This record gives sequence, C-alpha cells and structure tokens, in this order.
Amino acid sequence: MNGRVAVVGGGHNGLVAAALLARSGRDVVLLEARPELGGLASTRELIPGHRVDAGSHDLGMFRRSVMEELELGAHGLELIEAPAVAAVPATAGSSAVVLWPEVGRTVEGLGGVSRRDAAAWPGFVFELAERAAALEPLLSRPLELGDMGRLLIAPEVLRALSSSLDESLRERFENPSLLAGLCGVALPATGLGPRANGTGWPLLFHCALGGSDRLAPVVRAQGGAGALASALAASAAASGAEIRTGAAVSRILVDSGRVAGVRLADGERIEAGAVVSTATPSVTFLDLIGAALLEPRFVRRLLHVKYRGAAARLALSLDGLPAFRGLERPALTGRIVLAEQPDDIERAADAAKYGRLPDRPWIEAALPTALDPSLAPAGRHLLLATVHHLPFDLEGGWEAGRPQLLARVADELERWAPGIGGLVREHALLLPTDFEADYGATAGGLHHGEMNPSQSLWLRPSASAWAGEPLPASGLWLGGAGCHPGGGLTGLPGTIAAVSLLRG
Amino acid sequence: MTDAIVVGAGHNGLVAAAYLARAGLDVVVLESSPEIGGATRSEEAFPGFRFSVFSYLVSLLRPEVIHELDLVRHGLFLVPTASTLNPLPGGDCLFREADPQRTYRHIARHSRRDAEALFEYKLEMRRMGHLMYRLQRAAPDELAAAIGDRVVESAEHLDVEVSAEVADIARYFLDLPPARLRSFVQMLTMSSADFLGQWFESDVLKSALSSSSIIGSMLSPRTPGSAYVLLHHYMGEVDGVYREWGFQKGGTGAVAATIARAARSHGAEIRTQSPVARVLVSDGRAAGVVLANGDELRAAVVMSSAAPQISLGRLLDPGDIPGGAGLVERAARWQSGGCAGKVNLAISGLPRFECMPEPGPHLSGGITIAPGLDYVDRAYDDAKYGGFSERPFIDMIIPSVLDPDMAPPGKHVLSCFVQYAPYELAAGSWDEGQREAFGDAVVRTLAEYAPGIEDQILHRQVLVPPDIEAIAGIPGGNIFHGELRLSQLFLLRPDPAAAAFRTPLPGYYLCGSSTQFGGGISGGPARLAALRVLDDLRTADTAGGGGGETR
Repeated sequence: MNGRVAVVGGGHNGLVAAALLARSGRDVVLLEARPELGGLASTRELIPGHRVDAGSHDLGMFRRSVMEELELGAHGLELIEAPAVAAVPATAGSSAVVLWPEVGRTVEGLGGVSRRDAAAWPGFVFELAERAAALEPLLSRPLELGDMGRLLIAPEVLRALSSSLDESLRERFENPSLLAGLCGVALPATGLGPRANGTGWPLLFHCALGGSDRLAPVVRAQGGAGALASALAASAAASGAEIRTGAAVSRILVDSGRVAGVRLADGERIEAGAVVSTATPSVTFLDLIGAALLEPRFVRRLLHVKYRGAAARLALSLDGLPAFRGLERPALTGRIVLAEQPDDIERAADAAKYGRLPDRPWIEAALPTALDPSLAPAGRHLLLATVHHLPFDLEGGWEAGRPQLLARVADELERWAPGIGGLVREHALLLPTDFEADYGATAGGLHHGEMNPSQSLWLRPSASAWAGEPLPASGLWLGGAGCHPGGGLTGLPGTIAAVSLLRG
Repeated sequence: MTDAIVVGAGHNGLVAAAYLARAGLDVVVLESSPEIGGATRSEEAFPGFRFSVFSYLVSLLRPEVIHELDLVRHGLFLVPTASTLNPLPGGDCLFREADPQRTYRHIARHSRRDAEALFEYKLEMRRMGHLMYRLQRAAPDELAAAIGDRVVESAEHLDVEVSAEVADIARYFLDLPPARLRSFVQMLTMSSADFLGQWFESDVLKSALSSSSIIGSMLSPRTPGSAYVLLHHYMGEVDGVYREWGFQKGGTGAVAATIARAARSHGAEIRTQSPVARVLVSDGRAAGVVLANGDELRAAVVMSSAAPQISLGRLLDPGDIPGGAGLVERAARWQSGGCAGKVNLAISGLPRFECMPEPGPHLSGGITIAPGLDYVDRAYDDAKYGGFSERPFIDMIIPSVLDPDMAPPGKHVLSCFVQYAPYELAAGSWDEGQREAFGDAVVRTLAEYAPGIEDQILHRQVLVPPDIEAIAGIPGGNIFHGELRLSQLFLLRPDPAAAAFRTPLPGYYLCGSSTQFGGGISGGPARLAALRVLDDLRTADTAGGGGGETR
C-alpha cells in the first residue's frame, strides 16, 4: 500500500492537516488550485499595493496548541490581539457601544448607556464562559458516544441549540446597540436572523473556541491572514511535506472502494494511499469522486446539505481613518458591527430568504490597518466591509445586482461614518459567486455548510463518517470546514482529520 | 380531607382526576372559571350557532385514554375529517383525500416525483412518530429515573461526568439505524421547510405539509425547530387507531364534557368558580390548597394542570421548596407567547371555493390557506415584528357539515384557526379596532379563494391570544402551554427540576400540556402523571410510614 497522503486544498485546514501529518513522519503532498495558499483565509493584492484578506482574518478561534505544536512562531507567525472585541457606532437614533476583552472596561462604557446592562454584563460573560467551557471538549476532537449524554444533561446548551439569540439576550439586556453588537459577533456567515431558533448556538460556538476566559477576542496575524497560511506551509515544508500551488485536483481516484490517489486538471496522476479532502462535501463527493460511485441515498443526503449564508467582501482603500460616530481609535480595531438593533440583521435575513438584496445591507466592518499599518501604502487605510446574509441565487442575477449592492453598501457606510465616501480611492469587491468560483465555497457559503444546530455535532460529517456510516471510500478523510466542528478559522477540522488518519 | 386535588378542569385536569378517582381516590377538581374545558370548550356564541371556541380538532387523543376511561360510553363521538384541501391562487388547488389513489393523482398534477415520495414519507413519519411517542411514554420510567437527578444537579454546573446510565440512553439511540437516528435528531433542530425539502420538490405540497409544523408555534416553516412541531402532530397517527383528524360531535367542548362524565362516574367532584391562590405546604410536603377566597382545602396530593408560570410560579412560595428561587426564575422565562387567533364565522350558506365551487366532500375536511412557503413565511414576518399577518395562514373546518346540530338548518359555522397573531402588538394593543382589523384580514384572505364569502357572513367572533389567556387561563395564550422546542421538551418540560410530572415539593405534581408529552387534546400527560401519583402512593404505602396521611 502506498503510504503517501494527498491533501486536497491549501486552505488553513488543509495546511494544518499536512503539517501535522508530515510532522508525524507521513509522506505528504498538498495540492492547491490557486496560486496563493490560505483559501478563504488568504491575503491577496486585490487592490494594488494593498494586502487584502479575502475571507476570514480573525485568528481568535485558532487552536493555540496547534500553533505551538507546529512552531508557527518560529515559522514567521506574529499575532496581534485587538484591544477591542466589537464596537457598534452611534447613529442619529442610537448610542455607541464598545465591547472590550476586559470585563471592567466594558462595564464602565456600558454604564453610560444602560445601568441595567452594565450590571448584567459580568454575569453574562461568566455564564457564557461556563457554558462554552462545557461545550469546548465536544468541538475539539472527534465526537464520542458519551458526548450525547453530556449534551442531554446540559440544559443550557440545549437551550442554545433551540432558542433564539434575540430572546436569550433580551432576558438580560435592553440597549439595542449592545444587543446588535452581540448578534454581530455571533451571526456572520450564518444567514440567520437573530429571531431564528438555534441562533444561540453560533455565539456559544464562538466563545467555546475563542478561549473561554474572554468573550470572542479578535486576533489578527501581522501581514494579514495569509501569514498564517505561510507559517503553516513553512512548518509543513520543514517537516518534509511537499506543497504545490497551481495544482487543481480534478478527481479523487477510487479503485475497488479504496482511494488510489488524485488526478490533476492537467492530467497528472498522483498516487496516494490516503486522501484528506478539505473541499466542501458537495465538491468532494459530487465533483471529485463522482455521483456514479455513490449510493443514491448518499447523493440525496449531499444534495440537501444547506450552504446558506453567502456574503460579499468589499475592500476600500481610504485616504484616512473613517470617522465612525462615537468611536475612538482603539474601538476601531475589532469587529465593527453596523446594526442599530437586532432587527436590522433580521430584516437583511428576510430579504435573503426571498432571494432579494436587503434595502439596508447588514455590514460587518473591519479596519485591519488600525492594527497593522503595513497592509496598505503609507497614508492609506483599508476598510473591509463584509456584507452578510446575502442570497446566493439573487433574483435577477449578480451581474445586475453588483452595482445595486455597491450603491446600497455605500449609502449604509455613509450613514454610519459620515464623509467616508470622500475618503475612498479604490475598491475591490468579491461577490458570493466569486467565493464559489475562486475558493470552491459551494453556493458562496463561507462555512462549507450552514452553521446551525441541524448541521452541527453529529449532524455534520466527521473526518471518517457521516450519519453514522463510513465514508464511501476507504482511505478517504474529510478535513475541511464542512465537517465537525465546522467553519471559522479554527484549524480543528484539519487537526481532527490528521489525528483520525494517524489513529487509523 | 380529600385524597387529591386537581387544579384546573381543562381536558388534562379532567383526565388526571378521572384516573385518580377510578383508582378509588377521593378527588376534587378546582376550576377558576364558571365552565370546565379550558381551551377545550364549545359555546353558542350566537343564537343557534355553536362553535368550538379554541381547539377545533382531535387527533392526538390517546387510544389508551379512550379505552381505559371508557370515553365512548360517556359520549365520545369522533367524526373523521378525511381530506385536506389547499386552495391555490387562480382557482387551482391541492386536494388530499382518504383514497390514496386519488390523492396520488392530485399530487402528480403538481409533481409526479412528489406523489411517489408521499407514501414513503408517511411511512417514515409514522416510524419517527412512533419513536417519539415511545420516548415520551417511556421517559418518566426509563429516562427520568435514570438521569432525572443528574439533570437537576447539573443545571448549575455543566462539567459533570457522564454517568453510565446516560451512556446507556445514548446507546439506545445509537442502536437505531443510523439514518433514522440522524433524521430524528435533525428533526429536533431543523426547519420543516428544509426537512420537507429532503423529500419533496413542489412548493405547493411542501407548504401544505408544513402546516402541521407551525400550528400553535411562533415559527415559520423556514424557522429552525419547526420540524419538531411537524413530528409532534404525527404522534396522533401512531398505533393505527385514529390516523386521521377527527371532529367531536358538539364541538371539542363535548370532549371535555365526556371526560368530566367519566371522572364523575368514578366519584370525582368538579367545582367551578373555585380559583386556587396557592399550594398549601406543611412539613415540606404539599398539604392542599388555599382558594382565592381564603378557604383551605386539605389533601395529600395536589396536581396542577396549569402552565408553569402558574404551577411553578404563582401557586408556590419559593421559600417552601428546595431550589425554589431557581424554579420560579426559570418558570418566568418559559416561552409561551401565543401566535394564533381564532375567527369563528356564522355563515348563511356553504362557501364556494373558486377551485371547487360546488358542495362536495372537500367541505367536510380541513381547508388550509397556505399556498406556498413564501406566503406562510411572509405571514410570519409580519408577526415577528409585532403585527398580525396581513395575509394570514388559515386552517379551517366547517363543523356544521359534519354535525348539523352546530348551526340552524341551511346555515353553517366556519371555524378559522389563524396565524399569526402575536400576544402583544408592537403598535397599540389588541383593542376592538385591532381585533376588527384582524378579522377583516381573515375575511379578505378567505374571499381571495372563496369569492362572495364576505356577503355570507352573519356573525363574526374574533379571538386573539389575550382572549385565550383570559378565557382558558393560559399565560401568553399559547395553545400548547409553551412552545414545543428542544429546550422545552422531554426532561426540560417544563423544568429540569420538575421533569416526569414530579416537582421538588413532595406530593405536588404537574399534569398539563406543559409537561413532557406536550400539548394537543391528547390526555397523555395527565394519564402518565396520574399513574405516577398512584405509583408513588403505592410505594409510600408499602414502605409503611411516609404516605400514611393519604388515607
């Protein structure tokens, strides 16, 4: 048997898997279709002279233990923790709210907005951390039998799985900006409005993986998210892994029910006894293996994986820092949530349900240059506006939708940061269709499958099985965000795939 | 001193009383309103026209309740409503009849694939419903006994170790065929639109089938969690006894009257206009109740069929029970907001639906206005921002077709269950004007499918969640006493410390829709609760002391 492992996809999960496998002495080849590594966590020169993160750029959920094991620091990774977790600017009708990693600092700021909310904050952070800590073990390794019991006896986790974020937050808090800010931390890329049941889950998920001592801190890599990919690649290479970019896998070869290797788009055949695929379940099985080799019932299951939660990414090169109302510079370093109240996010989700652009798009903004000026030429700032909760199948198509979206986003940004329009020098826009075409994100879903309770835990594919049944080819392992525990820049699916493969 | 007091004379309170009385206990049922039935009541709202005020159909009534209480002898008379008509815009429709072959043809007009899939779907739902029912029925003895204590313990501290018992239960589930286990767990969390999308392609059929997933819940078919509500309504299809929905002759009030007759036949006493103020506690046990007028009534066992805000809130002094403060606090955040209104119409003749204008079998079944998933979702969107649906989802029956005694000759009653109507309106309150506007929206919507109906209306009764609260005594006006969702099901219904019908106060039990088994005219929770009480009394007796004061 060929002892070689082929890793399909050079996103962060593929790189983690390759690095861990190579470190354990396996002969590894990683194949990435694009010229740069990192996938949805890559940094590209989308605007000349600017280092623009294409997708996720927050390393707050990335496993520290994996970073240490792979010696990413020695391979060039430098982390910067943002002073702020999330901020909601003020508008004509609402006040600004800033959430800091420090409980006391947050309480102090909230005091000026709502005494009741300020008083409720410490208990909220404490309880959330406690629940997150209970959940964390289930997310960081393959699920086991006893875990089901662990869930059964954790009523608060069950509550998170079935209640809406809106109602559970309103049990404690009253200020609309604060409520919106917390929804803004939890709901990106979910496609779900805060009134939907099950939306308690993403917040808990975020906190469980964000380090349970603090509320979802924002951590960035010096030089952009691509620096994580570079460090992972360097670590993998140092352990002997072969990393190939510009190598698009067109087929996972299966011979008599066993994986035999992969074939590249240019026809090259690479023999391997095991394949770790980090593509989405749809791409892995329908495109790379092919429906002909799958049981109809398996195909049916694949066709029903939900990929809702598409987003667009608008990068703006600005002449200076924009003035978001009511926010000082340190507050601009974390997530900037542009919603006055949870219902703003709900209404954006409503529009997406019916295949339309929202009148007022819901934007999560970031100013990476506020933390790391090296990302843009001197004097310039980068603003990354992620427009969440967009329909992938836009009524009328994205060709026509593109200018509409740009216009509505510009209006919305102007509302929150008056005068920002005058600062814009250049822009670049990635649409949901680009995320699918460029990164293989099926239907533009950034998590490789909607992150809701009905596609989480046992209901998400694992590294080696799906719905309790083994994968249809032996020697095949799943290591992308489409499998347990899911999306986000965590490195966990890749880690779990490597650990499972090594275990056999 | 009586043996047992049951608080509330809704159908569950009456079932509990009947079981206890049948076992020889001396039972008194205390009902605050002048009439029995709770949400299961009929009323002659207009001279000559009788309506089932709230609940309008019976499908979940447990066969064992019917047999053990001999309800047929006491007057239970269910007429099956064998078909469902979904009128569509433009005079089209989807008609599902009792005859499978005809139903196949109706559906095949919209999608042949769906017509094929429907039978497989029904089989699978029946299996899942059976599994669910088994779980509900088995829960008190198998599940709760094993892990009930641990649930209570762990409510505050989550990092408990998994016990062998819990692992056993997990194993029971894991021993199910993987595909079934997955569907089952999925159904607890996913939306019915997604779930039905796994089976069907036509929007019309998905929308029609999704109706059961929103009844009584502030959920749209696209809201995660609605798939469970769908499953809940399939529990009425198990055991092959009453597979179809049924209409009780005389309206659902007659179901309550039937159960009351059964209870009285065993010696139970039912007192109306006797509101209970609180549960009396003595030596750490329930010792009876104090009525609103100050009278004390002593009993060894007290059962409450009321919603948790009352049973675990208003009726208890948190100081009287271990963990009482947490119990009361959790009861306060119990989700039981109403979402539905009832519009009862007295009409001068049968409605003429554009799709089927002539009288026919379709008028003796259910008729649902839910012409597409987007339609229902938009109706929900109106309500989630605090308005009533401008173009609502309507589930209606014409009881007078099945039971001519419900209306004067030639005339009819049309009972419309309408969603969505929130308990609280964002703008204003449910005053006369808002009620009328809601009623108008319903009539306007009906007229789109049955032109001319507005001219047939003789009288109109509009009921909204605050009315359900006021008349049936359900806080929030939720017809299930609390939403059916994972955090309010099984051992968490209504509270981890009060699972399996027992409460932390010895001698005090719960038996209403807000206990595990959930809502609907099933009698299931009350039966299990009563059996639990009898079991506990027996155990106390054989143990000697303890239950000595029972006799």
